[in-house]
Amino acid sequence: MTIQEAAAALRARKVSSLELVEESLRRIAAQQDRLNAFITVTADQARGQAKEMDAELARGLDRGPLHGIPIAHKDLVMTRGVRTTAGSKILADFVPGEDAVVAAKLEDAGAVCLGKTGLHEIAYGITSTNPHYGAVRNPHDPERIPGGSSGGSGAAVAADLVFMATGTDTGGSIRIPSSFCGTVGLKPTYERVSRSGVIPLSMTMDHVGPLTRTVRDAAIAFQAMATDSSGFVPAAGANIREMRIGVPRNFYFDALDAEVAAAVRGAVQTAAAIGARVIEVTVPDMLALNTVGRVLLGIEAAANWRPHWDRRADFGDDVRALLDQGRLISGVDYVDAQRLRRIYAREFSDLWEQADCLIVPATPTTAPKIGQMTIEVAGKNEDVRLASTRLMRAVNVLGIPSLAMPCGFSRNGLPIGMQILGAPQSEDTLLRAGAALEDALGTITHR
Amino acid sequence: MTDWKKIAAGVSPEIEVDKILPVMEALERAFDPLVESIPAGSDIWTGPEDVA
Repeated sequence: MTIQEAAAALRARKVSSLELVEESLRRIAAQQDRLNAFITVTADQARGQAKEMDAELARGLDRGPLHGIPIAHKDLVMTRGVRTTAGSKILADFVPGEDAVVAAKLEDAGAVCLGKTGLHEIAYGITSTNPHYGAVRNPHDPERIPGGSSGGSGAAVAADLVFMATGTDTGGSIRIPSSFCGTVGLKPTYERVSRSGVIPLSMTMDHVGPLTRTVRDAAIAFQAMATDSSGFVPAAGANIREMRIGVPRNFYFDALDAEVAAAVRGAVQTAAAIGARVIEVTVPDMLALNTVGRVLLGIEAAANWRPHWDRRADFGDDVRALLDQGRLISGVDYVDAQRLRRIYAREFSDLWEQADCLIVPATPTTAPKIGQMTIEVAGKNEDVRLASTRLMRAVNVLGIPSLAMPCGFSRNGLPIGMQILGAPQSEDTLLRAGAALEDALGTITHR
Repeated sequence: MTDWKKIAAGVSPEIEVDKILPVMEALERAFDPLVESIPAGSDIWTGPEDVA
């Protein structure tokens, strides 16, 4: 069931919010040992809130399409009175006194939070194999990673445990789990969703957004989360006739698993078949943007976690090494990275004169196995982290929106993801394109 | 090439520099040529719409 379907059923009195919550809690309990998607489950609080939402609907108070819908928050979104660990041993007992802005907005919209989802430690990694809270597992194959850092959110949505979960994305952390788990994930324009009350990793590249099962559900969630919502949700029969869709001739398709390349090319052909104008474009030096992103992330993450440098033994090995790298980068290099960022952002913005959006792959491969350190991509071995972020990180440097969505499955049944990129503030265009393609591709997954 | 071992020793003796040395050197090899392309007087990025 999607958010749209559940919202209709709630209003038709075919189901109550409490019944939806109880069903989600039953599923979470049944899947926790298999997936480890949650760090904390707030069952009693959720039941109480669901009863309130049901009472409001009964007396005619309707907060909108998220009213009474079970959701979850990535466990670095601060929740009043509920511990927020950031997947870290250091914050294992941290109980915020206030909600993050995005948690408060979703609660105001009537969403019922069932708990906090697992993540890569401090959101600094892409596996969600957490040394303190255990490995989150992929619902399509529990021997594989769900991606990260929002791995618990991806697993929880893909396994139908909740209708929507929040995620954060600093170098692909919403879109990588979406690609590996077969969900939709929207990384909005920088600052379009407030970061206030979300434990930071990189203050100039962190983005907050939703993971859902469908594009229209992502639109519903995003509009509730956004600071300046347009309220746009694609209607049934959304079309992309005459939309200019750019397909890069360089970089994005250079080194991909063959099945990924075929699936994304297939989506482009589908876009053309339903009326879009597909045009080839040349993107600027994306490897340079990735390098700039790694410099920025290293130093910003080290600065954000500086108060805890004296607790080295409480960080996992991979995260401690990444923080150490950031500590060695000079302030001069940081400023130069921010100068390069402006230069490349201006180059990249020229693309929007030619195209309304771009279709590109999300990850070069399907989900790797838990513990796998390297992966073969187009005949070459790559580090799993670098491969998984290779098509992602530049978007965080640019601060532009990206909608990740499924575009097919591999022969062994694993999801394949693609991204639709757009100019700053173009989320509504991306959602319209995504909804039309989702309809045409028939990729709404039913497991 | 930067002497990362010397810098690490100055930042903190706890940093296990041998574990991160290859990454630092690779990052430096990728980043330094980019810096050389920055025009004098370039300003820093201030947000996604700073493209005029």
